[in-house]
Amino acid sequence: MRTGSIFDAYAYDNPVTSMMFDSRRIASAACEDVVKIYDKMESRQWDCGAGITEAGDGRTPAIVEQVRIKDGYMIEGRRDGLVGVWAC
Amino acid sequence: MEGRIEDAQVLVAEAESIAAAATPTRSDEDDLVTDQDVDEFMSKSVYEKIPSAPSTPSRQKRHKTIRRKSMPVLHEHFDPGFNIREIKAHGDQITALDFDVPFGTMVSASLDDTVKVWDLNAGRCIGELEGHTASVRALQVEDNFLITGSADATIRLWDLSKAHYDPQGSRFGRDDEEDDGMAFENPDDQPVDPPEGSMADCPMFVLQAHMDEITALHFRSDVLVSGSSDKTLRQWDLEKGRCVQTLDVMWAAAQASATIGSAEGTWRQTSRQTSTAADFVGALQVFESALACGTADGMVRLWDLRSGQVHRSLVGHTGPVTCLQFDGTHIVTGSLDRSIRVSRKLGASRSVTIIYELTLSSSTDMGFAYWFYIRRLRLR
Repeated sequence: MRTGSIFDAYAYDNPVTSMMFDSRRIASAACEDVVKIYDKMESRQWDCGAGITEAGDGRTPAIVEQVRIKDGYMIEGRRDGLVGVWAC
Repeated sequence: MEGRIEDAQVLVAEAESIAAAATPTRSDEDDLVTDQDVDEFMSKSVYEKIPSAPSTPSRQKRHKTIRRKSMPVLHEHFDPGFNIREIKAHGDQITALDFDVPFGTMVSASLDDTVKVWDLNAGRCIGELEGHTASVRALQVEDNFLITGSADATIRLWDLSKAHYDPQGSRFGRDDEEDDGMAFENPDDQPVDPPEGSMADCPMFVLQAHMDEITALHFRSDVLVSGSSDKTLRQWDLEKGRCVQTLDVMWAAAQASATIGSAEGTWRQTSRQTSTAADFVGALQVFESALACGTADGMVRLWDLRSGQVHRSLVGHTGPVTCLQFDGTHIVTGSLDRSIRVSRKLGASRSVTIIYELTLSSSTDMGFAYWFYIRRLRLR
């Protein structure tokens, strides 16, 4: 076996500016108005954030810059200074 | 139902194959990839001390103050993706934020050069931390203890338990009422201005030694490591409040390439010109004497703080590393790269989050050995 190898990799369309994982999920901020959540248990990728919930409101949430997650409780800070708190 | 069982069996089979690949001695009951299990199979090493949850308080009890009678775990009753709260925290871009526990205390920093402390349960601003003369680029909260690293090249330590804050003054300070779960998603709650000087007693001390912006920091127990645009990492003893070691990243990279005997340790310019916006030290995490650090050259280096040397360099990213985190088994890293060399299958214009599998064990008293195994490359 080679050492220093890559176990897994996820590709996103834009640079990853922030990332944190808890026991179950990897949350990444990748220059979008949502946080990219990867569920390690279900091997499932989904989006969480204002870009989803405000999609129908005609609002345009700012890009998520920073993200933190602990025990399924996720906070994200955006370019316009707003902080969103989410369950995920 | 059968479908679920099948799914479970597939998962178990997959996990078993993973377990078999990682440690041949692992038995079936280890197959769930949870941190608890991980801890068990690492029992021989000092890394058994890695907590199962990164949020587990590591700070001594003397810093602990009880500010809540009960800890709501309401997120278990929320559907994934539910917006618990939105806070108009700052007037400009958020540069760093962290919180201690769900519904606990959050600290946010912004390009507007302010640092604010928030009660996440009530959505109220507890106060503003004054002292830094430039924006805070990195911060960490553990229990009531906060460390901030700023573009003014200083690191400040704060004791948030000294804040003058009355949670009962909030409309929402009723977390023991069972049917009140929705109270804190009141859409029209605005941050109430905290009283003047509410954080006046919070500053503890200032660490000054770096010559340029602090871009990353992490502490655990009494060990703090900070990374700066002056191209050094510094290790601090928080009990004594002084710098105990300075690590020159460029020098260590050269040393590592000499001893490891390949080009993988050397500093190399990343192919894409993203470095104008990138921090030299993008992210770091410390655990006891183990330090992982991601830098603008796309490398993740694993250091032994006892020797002050790089033990291993992880190749994979082609752009500046912006974030990383490890637990007992994995290092996950994220980067600004828009191309990737790790796999032929990946398109040329995508960024990646890379998960390195990490098996840590202490072999001799000289240091840890790190082993990495290829498992599979999963593309999203």
